[in-house]
Amino acid sequence: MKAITVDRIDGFGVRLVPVLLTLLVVVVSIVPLGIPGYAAVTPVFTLMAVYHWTIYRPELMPPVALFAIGLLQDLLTSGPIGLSPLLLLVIRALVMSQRRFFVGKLFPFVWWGFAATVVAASLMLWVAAGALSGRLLDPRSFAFQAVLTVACYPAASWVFVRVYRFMLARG
Amino acid sequence: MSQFVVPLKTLAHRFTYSVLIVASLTIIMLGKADVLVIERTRAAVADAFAPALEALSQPASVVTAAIDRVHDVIAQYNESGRLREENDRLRQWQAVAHRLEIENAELRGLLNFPSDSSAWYITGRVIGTAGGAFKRSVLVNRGANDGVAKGQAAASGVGLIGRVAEVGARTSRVLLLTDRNSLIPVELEGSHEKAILSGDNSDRPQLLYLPAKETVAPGDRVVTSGDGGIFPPGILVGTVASIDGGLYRVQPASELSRVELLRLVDYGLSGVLPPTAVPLPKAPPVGRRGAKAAADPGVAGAAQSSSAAETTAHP
Repeated sequence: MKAITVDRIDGFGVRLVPVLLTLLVVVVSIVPLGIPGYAAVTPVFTLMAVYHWTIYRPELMPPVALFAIGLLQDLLTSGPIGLSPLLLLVIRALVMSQRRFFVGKLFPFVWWGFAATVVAASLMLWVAAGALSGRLLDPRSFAFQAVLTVACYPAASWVFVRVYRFMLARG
Repeated sequence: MSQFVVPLKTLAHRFTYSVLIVASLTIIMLGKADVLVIERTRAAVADAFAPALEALSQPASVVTAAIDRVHDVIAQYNESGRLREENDRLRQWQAVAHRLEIENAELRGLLNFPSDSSAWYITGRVIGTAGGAFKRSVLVNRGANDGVAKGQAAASGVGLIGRVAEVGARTSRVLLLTDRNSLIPVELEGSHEKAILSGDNSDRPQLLYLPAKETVAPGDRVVTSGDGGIFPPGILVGTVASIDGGLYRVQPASELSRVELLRLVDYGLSGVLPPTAVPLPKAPPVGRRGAKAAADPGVAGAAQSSSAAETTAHP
């Protein structure tokens, strides 16, 4: 008889935590904070969530959920529709292919991997947005957004882990 | 058993993945073609999330208010003397304005000049921002149910902030004047030189098609011209901030990232937009939510000054 996997112990509710948490993060990221210039450089929280869960629990962040999360993000932020689902799916594939280098490693190494992922994602976004609108967009706001996203990752990652453990303990 | 299941699972997984990628690309193409369905979906999603956003933006605004209060206490200490002086001076101006308003009304009466009483206002609260590097827009908690229609001007207490671009049943999206898709007919106050204020996603939109450039100087006030009939004329937009290399940048009068409450102005004209884009204004149902102000004399701010003047003693 095989050992019971962690998946089987997890309740249904706990398995939904990553996706629900990411959906919540999408909504929270458009709440107006009244900080000058914040709206343009709001960190891409979905990217953090996707990276985090793809590294630690990929089975809890299935592609279909990513598609839905990306779509919701585009609809709520009025960005070019369809771009976020595509980006999140590509990023997931990218992270999955490099996953074995990061699993079980110290956090700074994982963080470094995230920085590289964000640079790739921002470049893709910038190029795609430019192609879709027919003219180049100011790269500075994309760069600021990337820097802020990388800077916020440790805090976001900490919250993800805490919430998941909390739900695991209760569920 | 597992020697069949695992490859099948992988295959199914790959298949789902490809389908989703293709679906994303299809949606991008549809979005590029500006299909009405997508606009409707956006509005419906915004409507569905409006209650959550309203609830979330309350604590956020409480935090903002708390920070502001600390700033205020410090500022008040320094400013009270200066403000007292300024208040005395403004009282004199108020008296002058009140007299001029009466005179203006009498002269309009003499000339049989129609007043702008067709304009009415809907007050709304910002419950969401664009949150990204692509767009400069805000989500407002008023929609078609409240009488909001596409193309209406959106103004804060200080000045114009943009126009309504999408309307849902309970929410609407205002395209800020800094967005790169925003084009607003404006004129320079005083010289009446017409121009188009064009956003480019930077904090300061630029003036295009300015005829007599040599007359423009930093500090000149820019107001809506009313050309095209979309916006009421005379709403303050901002001031000319800098002129470099033939680019005339305008500093918006309102601090766009800090606007919490705004007014949507229905001027009752369909203008240059196709009739389908701007439905005829319907009078707001009286008494609902108490958020709507009834018709008042035209240009922004006039209502406030007249009501203020009524409560203070007229010299």
